Amino acid sequence: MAYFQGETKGLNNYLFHCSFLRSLTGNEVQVWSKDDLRPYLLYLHQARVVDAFFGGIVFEAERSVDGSTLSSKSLGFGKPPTVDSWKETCRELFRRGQNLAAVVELSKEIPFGKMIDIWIALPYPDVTQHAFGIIDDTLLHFRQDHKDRKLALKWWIQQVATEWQALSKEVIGHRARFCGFVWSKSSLAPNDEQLVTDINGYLHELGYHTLWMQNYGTVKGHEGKRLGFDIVLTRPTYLGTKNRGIEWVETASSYVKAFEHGLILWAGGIDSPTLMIELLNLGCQRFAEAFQLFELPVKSLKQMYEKEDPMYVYVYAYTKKAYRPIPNPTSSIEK
Amino acid sequence: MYGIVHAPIEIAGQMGLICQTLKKRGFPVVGYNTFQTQFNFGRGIIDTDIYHLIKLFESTLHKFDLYHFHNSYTFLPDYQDLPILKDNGKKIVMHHRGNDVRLRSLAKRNNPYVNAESSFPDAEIEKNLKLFSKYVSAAIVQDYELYEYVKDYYEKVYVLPRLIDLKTFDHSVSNTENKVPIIVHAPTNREFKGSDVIEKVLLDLKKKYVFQYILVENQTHREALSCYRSADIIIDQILCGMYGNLSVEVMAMGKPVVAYIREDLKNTFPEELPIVSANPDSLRDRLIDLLENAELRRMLGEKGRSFVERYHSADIVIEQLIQIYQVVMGTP
Repeated sequence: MAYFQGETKGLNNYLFHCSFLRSLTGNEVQVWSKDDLRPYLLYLHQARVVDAFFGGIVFEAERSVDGSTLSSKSLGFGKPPTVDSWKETCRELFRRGQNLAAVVELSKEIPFGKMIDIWIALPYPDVTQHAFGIIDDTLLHFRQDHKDRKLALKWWIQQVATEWQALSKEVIGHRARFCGFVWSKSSLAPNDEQLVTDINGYLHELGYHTLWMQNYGTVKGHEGKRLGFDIVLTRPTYLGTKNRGIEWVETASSYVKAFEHGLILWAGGIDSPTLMIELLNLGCQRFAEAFQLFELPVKSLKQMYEKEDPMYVYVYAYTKKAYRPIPNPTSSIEK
Repeated sequence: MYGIVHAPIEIAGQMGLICQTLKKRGFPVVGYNTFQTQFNFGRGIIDTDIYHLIKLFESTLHKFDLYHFHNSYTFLPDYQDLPILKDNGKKIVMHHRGNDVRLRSLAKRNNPYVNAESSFPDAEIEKNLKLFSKYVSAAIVQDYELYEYVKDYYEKVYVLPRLIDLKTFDHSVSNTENKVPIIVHAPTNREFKGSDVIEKVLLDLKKKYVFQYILVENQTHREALSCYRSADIIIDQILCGMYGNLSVEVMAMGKPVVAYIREDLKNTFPEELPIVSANPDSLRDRLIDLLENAELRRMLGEKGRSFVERYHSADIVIEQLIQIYQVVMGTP
């Protein structure tokens, strides 16, 4: 029994989650500039680069500019997606000067010998969509024909791969590597299982890694490898009777270790304000070596850096295995 | 228009059909289902898990105004969401579906046959109902059999019949007159439906009558419907004292159906119910009536279709639900 560690597959261990375009409920279109990304990819002190910070980034679009559902996380919060909204996601991801293109530019500033890992969440082919749009002269219907869901995903993967090749050639001397794609729907609907298996097979043929973000307690969460995922990240969730406490992360981490998964550390929202420190306290003692994804409120770490919040230093120290538990934590991370 | 969310479990395709019909009427409605079964009703609700709903809950406060919950479940464990919803000015409708409120202690008082062992424990039901009464704007039950269990806890309890999408039930081929009659029984919960008694009676009848018995279990909804289509007689449930969803579906197909209807509940229907009422003591005789009389079967089939068209059609029932929503939301 061991936690999954990125090194075993030549991957960086600590990632952060980066939502772009429209969030679940907001109208603002989220764009990440180089300035926004710098405090994540580089550990800064008084605007000077001290070290590399996070080892990788997961880009995920929740909703398109026109409010269509892109990520499974936004199911119920947007219109069914169309081929245009998927195209827009790819376009915005690679738009020069922002989002992924900004990461690639910024990677040139990373201290020598380090690399930034790029992961991209697949859009979810929502089965409520009757008319997705025309791809290769074929009108795709996700509801009528599940083969169409696979065709749409393959098409989108090809778009991303092509865009990546162009960007990678364009930015000379960058130190970013495109590692693979992420399936971010935690639960698998009856029609999803075969789809993810097929798509994982396809991605492996293309040489990409596959990663599943699921919840502690997700049905078949322990069968990620059978479904073709290289990495499974488990999000500690809560089914208790009181406020979400750290003991649930502890419980989830035992499961994570048993099945050789990594962890998603999420904080914010209605959680205890001390949760972030508690996560770091527990993590450094229990799962420091595990592959981990930080899922924090959008741009919150940048705000911490700007406000000289010690949390910025704590998280950095944690990713370098230099963090030591802080007793009686009080955290600045809330909504 | 106010946003409506249905959650967290789908039972007998009802949540999906409500959402689908409300959408047709222009309501912004979303359904989340964490109870995936072999039935796979496929009506455009979102299949997910409870963990996703927990994580999603806070965001729903920005999106929805009316929370329509099913079977005494909500978004968060131990109903932590109910006070939050109330504090945020949200309206809550609780749709009770059966085993979440059918108290064992009360069930036997009116019905010696009922098997309520699949119900939540009595203490839990009472605790839940007391809690709901503080937060829930309106409760819904599907019939007066359930009404009894919840009427003392809420200011307003609505009886909303089960819905059916009549377009998906073709009754033009309903006059099945197989040379060897086919009897179908399709239990999801054998103890609750009285399946053992049904099969014992059928075994006994086999000594004198020629018929084929088909047991429908563990099939998708589509596969099950295909079996019903070939049937001459359908047996729904003989213990509970009220008909279930199966009765509604097969009446829509123009099939004669057997279910036990408690005597004291018969007058809660607006007209004579075209269901052959049979309990464990009378099932044998009622089945003989049907086996020996093809004309009776045909006539009951026709009346059944007409009954569901008037009282269970989704388009008609949804009007009643919209009226409930209007009262709850305080909108005209």
